[in-house]
Amino acid sequence: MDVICLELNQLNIGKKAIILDVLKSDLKRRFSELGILKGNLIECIYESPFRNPRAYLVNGTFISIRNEDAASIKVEVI
Amino acid sequence: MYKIALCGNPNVGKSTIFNALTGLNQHTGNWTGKTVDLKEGSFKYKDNEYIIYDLPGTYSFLCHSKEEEITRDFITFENVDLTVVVVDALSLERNLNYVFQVLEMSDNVLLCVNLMDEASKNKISVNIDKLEKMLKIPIVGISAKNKNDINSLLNKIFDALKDNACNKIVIKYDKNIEKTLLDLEKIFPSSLSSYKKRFLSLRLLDDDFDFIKYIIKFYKIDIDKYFEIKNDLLDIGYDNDKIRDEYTTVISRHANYVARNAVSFAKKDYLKKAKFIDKVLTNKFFGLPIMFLFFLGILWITIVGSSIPSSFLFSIFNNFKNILNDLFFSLHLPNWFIDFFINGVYSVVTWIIAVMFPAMAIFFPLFTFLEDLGVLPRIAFNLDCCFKKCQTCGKQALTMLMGFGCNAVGVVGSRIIDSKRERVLSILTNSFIPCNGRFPTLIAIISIFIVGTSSNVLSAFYLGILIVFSIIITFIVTRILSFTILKGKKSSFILELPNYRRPNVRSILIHSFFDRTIFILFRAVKIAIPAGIILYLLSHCYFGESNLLTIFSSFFDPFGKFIGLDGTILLAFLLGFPANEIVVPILIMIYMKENSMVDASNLSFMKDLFITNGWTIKTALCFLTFMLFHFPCSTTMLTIYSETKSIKWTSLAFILPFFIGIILCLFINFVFLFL
Repeated sequence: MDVICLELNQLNIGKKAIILDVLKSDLKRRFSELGILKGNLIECIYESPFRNPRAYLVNGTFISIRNEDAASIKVEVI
Repeated sequence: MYKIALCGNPNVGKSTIFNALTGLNQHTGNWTGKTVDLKEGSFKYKDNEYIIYDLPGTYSFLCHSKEEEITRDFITFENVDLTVVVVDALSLERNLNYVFQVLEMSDNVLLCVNLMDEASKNKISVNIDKLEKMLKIPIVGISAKNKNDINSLLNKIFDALKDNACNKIVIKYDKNIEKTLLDLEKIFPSSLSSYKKRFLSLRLLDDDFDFIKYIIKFYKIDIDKYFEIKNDLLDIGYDNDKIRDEYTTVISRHANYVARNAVSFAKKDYLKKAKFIDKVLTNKFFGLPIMFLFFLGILWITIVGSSIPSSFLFSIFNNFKNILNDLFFSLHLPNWFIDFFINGVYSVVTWIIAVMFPAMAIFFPLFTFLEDLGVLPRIAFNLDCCFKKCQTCGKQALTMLMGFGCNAVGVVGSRIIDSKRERVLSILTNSFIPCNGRFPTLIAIISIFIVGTSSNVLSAFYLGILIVFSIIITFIVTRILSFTILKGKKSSFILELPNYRRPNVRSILIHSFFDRTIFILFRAVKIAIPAGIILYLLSHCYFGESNLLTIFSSFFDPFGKFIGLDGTILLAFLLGFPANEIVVPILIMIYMKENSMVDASNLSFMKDLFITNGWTIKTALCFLTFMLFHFPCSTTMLTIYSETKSIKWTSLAFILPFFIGIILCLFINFVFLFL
């Protein structure tokens, strides 16, 4: 099976992925304290009425991230 | 007496535990030496006295936010006897990251795993014994709602303090960092405990330069030596990013290991219910309407529900007034003093309490209920996109919502916004949102002049239009400000949407009462006293035939007429500075040439009075507009100053809505020229 690598904002709702890297360094800390770290599992669960931001499930909690910020997170779809 | 610090992630039920432990024995005090408000409370258990400090909730100590600094400094420098970390049993892994960071700061930590009942309901079992063995600190599993559980927490605290339990766990980093830490520890004074040395050395490797400067100054560290050691590490490729990465990875590896061994999930998708509710609340079609209905419901309950207790308070205060009158009379106090005290100070102060208190005592518990339930972050989530267009974030929706209750609370509530620029924007525009105090006036004027009859449905409809109008103006002004004087990059909107939780009634009442209702009422009364005196003096000082009120009214009249109002209305707004609720009573008082405020309960009487004083539909429209947009009340102004500590922002918050109100009134006048 092919490995599909995407930016997190392109992950479809209901799909799970492994975090490969967090690129934007100014948000890296904020992401890491919420468990958005290399190697962790992330799932896109729903979106807001205006389709941005979207909510993700990481480490058992729902976290809202704007699409432009999610674009700095590289993931591998599983 | 023991000093205890209470800390943890946000949304773990920390304040519920704080309220359960201290009950009414709590207040918000100032942390000596720092301009930081900290909640502290006291309690007794087994003949010992405890003081407990509620530290701000943060997710970690990695971001160097103000809240993180407060928590870190308090735990490391305040010599607390015990640090109680509260964690959520449902998301233990993320919480353990925080715990490990606290364990590096303090050697007397007690872990309190909260929400055990929620966890077991979702078939998640947390093995406390195993956890205790792995972390080597005292641990207690509770659910804060349960009284017995609070007792076992107290017992555990008692035991931990008696045994002087200290944690022995040390997190090891890679060998290069460990070697550097060893070198750094040597440059600290030898009297310091090895524990503290390690923590401070770790901080010296971090990139929080303010804290590093502080450490160097405080412990008189040899700066050359420090740079020499740090440069050695840099030479082998360890820049700040790499050190930081190593730090977060090691800690999260530990947290992951402990969580994997101590937690077991029996049900597969325990978040199914929350996911379902969220899919409805954030649905493209129903999401926003549902939230709007929620909001209307709260407003309706507040407006309708507060009228009965309000008139009850009026009658109590009135009866007491007669008693007070008789008492003063029997004490042979001079007549002028009795009149001055009762008709000046007493009547204005009790008037403000009677109109403000019931509305806030209804609105804020309802609001806190939604807050504790977990609905508010979803509102921010749904509306973030609109606020992003104004270069701010969805959290401003929440401060606006608080503003409907009271603008001062909305201003304080702006603390939830992390970015300073966005916080100031939210503070400056909060008074555009009509608060509880303005609703009764708006409704009265609408039903007299616009609807004409006492049709509630139509009045509510027009009120809705006014609310929407005020929201639109808020957006426009926010956008203009963020492209002019408050230019800057919009922050991110990375927000936890916490799991839904059944709120605790006691905690809601304590929180909404102490932190919101009483807090605001106290500030309002403080200003009502001088305002009452001024009002009394103005109405009793006569020059020839007319008192000062009439003289001032005619002085303001040209400008008042120019913007579609009259001098009396402007004067009423000025004298109503302490509270928007008393603008109309003062207005009626001046129109009727009375000496004290007059109740406006009779609408047809009010209508006749206003029309004989020259009101037309144009006056009513301008009045409504000016009611929405004029200077914030004195309580809000005081709060804006204490939140921003800046005369510039405080005066702008005064001028901005006033200016917009005048412009809009002029516009209305302009339109009427062509009708």
